[in-house]
Amino acid sequence: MSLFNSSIRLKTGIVLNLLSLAFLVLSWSTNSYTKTKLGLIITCLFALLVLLYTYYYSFWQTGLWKFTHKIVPKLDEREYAVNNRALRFAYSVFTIVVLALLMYYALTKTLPHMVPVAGLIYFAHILPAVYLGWKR
Amino acid sequence: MEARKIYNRIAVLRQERGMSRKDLADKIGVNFQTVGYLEREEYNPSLDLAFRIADVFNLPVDFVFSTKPLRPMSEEMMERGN
Repeated sequence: MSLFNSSIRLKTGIVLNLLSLAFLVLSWSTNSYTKTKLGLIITCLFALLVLLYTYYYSFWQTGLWKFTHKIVPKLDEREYAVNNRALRFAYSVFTIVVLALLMYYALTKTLPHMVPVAGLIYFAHILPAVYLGWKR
Repeated sequence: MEARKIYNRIAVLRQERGMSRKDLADKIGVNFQTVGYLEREEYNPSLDLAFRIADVFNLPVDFVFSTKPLRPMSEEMMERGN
């Protein structure tokens, strides 16, 4: 029962983390969720807090972040295989997301802001941990 | 290709020798969690790891691992004795 609960909690944390990241990036980029600058800053700060909290709970405390960032000589053969599966998943998803974004920027003839770029860097780093947390 | 399930006697042999998972893990050079995965037959070891495990128990590799469900060791011993 506790395993079930912790698995559900972990998945909820992962979903909230990804949603807050998407919300943060979208609200900053489009600026359409709020009318005032102060409102934008408050909503972004709230999203950032949710992002940091769920990152700490879902990826740091569980050790998933550390595991997916271990160097190869420190992994045994099972860990290496698990890490490979996670990285394979992360590579496919990240490639699709980046290509879709490139297409969007090319079609709209715009340049990305700093926030989406920083979001992408974070996204690339958490994706293997997302896979492992979801499959746990 | 779907891998076949590999059955093993690691848990029984380890307990017989009074070893902890950590002890065995240190001897075969893996994380102690990997020993748990091996004992629950949730992970098929490489040939190299299988030989290392068999060496720790000083037994032939086909006594420790099998592609068919393994019978209890006592049953097998009785049969060999007769």
